[in-house]
Amino acid sequence: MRVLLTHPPLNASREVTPPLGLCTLGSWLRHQGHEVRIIDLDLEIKGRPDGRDIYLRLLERAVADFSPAAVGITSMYNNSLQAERMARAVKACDPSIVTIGGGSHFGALGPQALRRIPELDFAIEGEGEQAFSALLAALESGAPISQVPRLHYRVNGQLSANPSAGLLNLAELPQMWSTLDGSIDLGRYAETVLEGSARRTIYIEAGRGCPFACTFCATAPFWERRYRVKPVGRIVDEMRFLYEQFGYDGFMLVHDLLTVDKQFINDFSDAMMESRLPVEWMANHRTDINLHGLLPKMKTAGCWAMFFGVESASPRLQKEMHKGLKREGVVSTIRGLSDLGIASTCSFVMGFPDETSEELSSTIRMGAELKLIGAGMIQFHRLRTWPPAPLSRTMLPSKFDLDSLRLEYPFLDVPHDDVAAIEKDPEFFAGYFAPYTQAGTFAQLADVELFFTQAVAAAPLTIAVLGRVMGASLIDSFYAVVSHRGAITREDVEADTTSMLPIWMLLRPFLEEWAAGHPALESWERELVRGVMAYEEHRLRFVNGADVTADEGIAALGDHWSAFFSNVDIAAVFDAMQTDQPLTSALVQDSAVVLVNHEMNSYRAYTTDVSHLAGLANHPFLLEAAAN
Amino acid sequence: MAEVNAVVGYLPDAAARALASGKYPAGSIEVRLEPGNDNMHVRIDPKDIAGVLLGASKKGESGVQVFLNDGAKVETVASGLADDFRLRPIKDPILWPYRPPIVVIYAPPTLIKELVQRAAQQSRE
Repeated sequence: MRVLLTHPPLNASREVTPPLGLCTLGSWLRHQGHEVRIIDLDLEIKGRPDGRDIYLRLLERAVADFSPAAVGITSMYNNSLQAERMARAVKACDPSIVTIGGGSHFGALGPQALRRIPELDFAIEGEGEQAFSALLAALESGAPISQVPRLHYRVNGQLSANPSAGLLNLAELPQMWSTLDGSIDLGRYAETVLEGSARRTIYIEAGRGCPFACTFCATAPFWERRYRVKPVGRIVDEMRFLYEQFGYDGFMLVHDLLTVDKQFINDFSDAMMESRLPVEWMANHRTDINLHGLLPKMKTAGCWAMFFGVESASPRLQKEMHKGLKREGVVSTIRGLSDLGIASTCSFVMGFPDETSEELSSTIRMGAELKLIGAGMIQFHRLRTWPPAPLSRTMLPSKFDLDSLRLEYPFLDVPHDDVAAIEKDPEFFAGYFAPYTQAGTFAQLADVELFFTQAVAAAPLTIAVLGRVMGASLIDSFYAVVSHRGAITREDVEADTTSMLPIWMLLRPFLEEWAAGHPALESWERELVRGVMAYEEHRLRFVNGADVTADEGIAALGDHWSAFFSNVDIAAVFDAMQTDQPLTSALVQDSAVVLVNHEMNSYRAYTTDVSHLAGLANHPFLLEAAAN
Repeated sequence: MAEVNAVVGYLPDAAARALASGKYPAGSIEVRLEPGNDNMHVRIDPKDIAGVLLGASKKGESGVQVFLNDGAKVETVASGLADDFRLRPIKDPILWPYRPPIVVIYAPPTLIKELVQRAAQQSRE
């Protein structure tokens, strides 16, 4: 059968990687003998300012060119409204074309999707490959569709559903990229990689299924919490193909939690070392899975980064969300990765219904402290309750949250009609209806998400020190400052993304007012905050090549180095934060900080006694740095 | 638990391949801890090396795991300002990803020996 698989516009970023779900499904269907074409409307409209107006026309043209008997449409929650319009457009082209929905959203809410979209003939719940091919076979042969597993459909206007027939053995999937030859043009994706990127990065599927049961997670139940991996050799072959054909050298191994099976990680690392492929890879991991013995091998095998959902610093919330991570384990894991030079991204979720502002304060502080011990990136996200996450079934009191929709919508502004359509259907668009939380109002949590994501990236020491000295009042005092001076906005942040320096200039007046106005801070604590803010500003200016000659506090300057006066012992502050020692008034003491650019993009900082500043200019090492 | 010490880092491709195939140089080897960057390296006497596992090569450097014999002494060389001005490094990870030179690998030495022999064989093939 001739099948068109399609994917709606997804986001506004420039780089596009192939839609993995559709590619896997497409290769499976080709392997079964079907004729498949994939049209990725995210790729098709990239760089076109008229994308919102033309994606349906592009789909219509593809339908006219290819004349499919069936069209499979996927969506990722944020682009489901577009997917819905695509189903209508297909039926308008030719009512005889069978339309089939699947993927994260339609695959989780099949009956609701059919109820919403009369033009959608079928929805496949959960894993799609076997069900899709069984449906095509039934349609071709005229066999009853009641035997097609996981299928939602209409019988005489009434919704009907078939049970699952188990999960696919991933070893049965064909070699994806070579099987897809002719169905998708991978070269066009490779062309979207930005020039000068540190890595040419692409997602590939390593497997499916996480056995844990975190209450907020939609993907673990989607894959029925059963851990499966593709054969090691198949993954390495996919990487080799993409490297040799398109120059991709950074691979995001897509799997909810790849590191559950240590034997797999060991075998995969061995295979990567044996392959000698000059590529790197990253994967999802948990801080309570002990990989200590394997990490060095993973590093040598090209592991460049790991992603962690840490979620919260609160032991109570950890228990309540069925995550169960302990702070000590998180810290030791991130430190261990940093020691090996493996980058880490730590993600936190905020806004659980009974989360308090005190608990959120400790979460923000923990994020900043993880950055100080070497975490590469810290993310703060507001809680979303998308089905089939267990939390989505609890019918929490919630309210439409326009800001979270705006953040994820595939186009930069959300038309009023689309807002109205989504707001009208809380069951289908559940994720855009945020649960009420004690941690703050929706607007406050949006401010926390934006402010602290930026602040921890630009000035982690400042936020960590504020977290220490303000303690549980961090977030409430943040809200107090926002209430009378206003928050930073997404437009402010996105105005200049060339470096963290413009972000810092946005944050600084806010931070100054916040620290100065907090009633519980002692004077030495205010001085401490002033000192670490000054250090972070000097560092940002120096690293970003700003002209520092007229900067406040500059004490000495040379080619490739600068020294400035500080009212705190910065080295000792870092030591205290990194070793979990208390901050004391003894840290507030006059010193000097020397920033050096040794080689291209290789910076160091030193603390020294003010009395040593005069001799710095003739120091042989600084002269050598200048010569480099 | 059984354990061995190792240095995990990067060597020029030719040196890494030679080491992995069991050909050790006469002088010390210097393993960089960051790719393309000599800010910190670990100097190892070849007689202290129990074996080497070879990883991928990128931009002329290969990832290596250099397993150390018990009691091996290594020198860590970090480029930085001498301490005659009492300059204390600020361990700011945004500027400088401080890394300890030696990592502990929790695996029996016999297993490491087998791994190294297998890798050496592959390097020679």
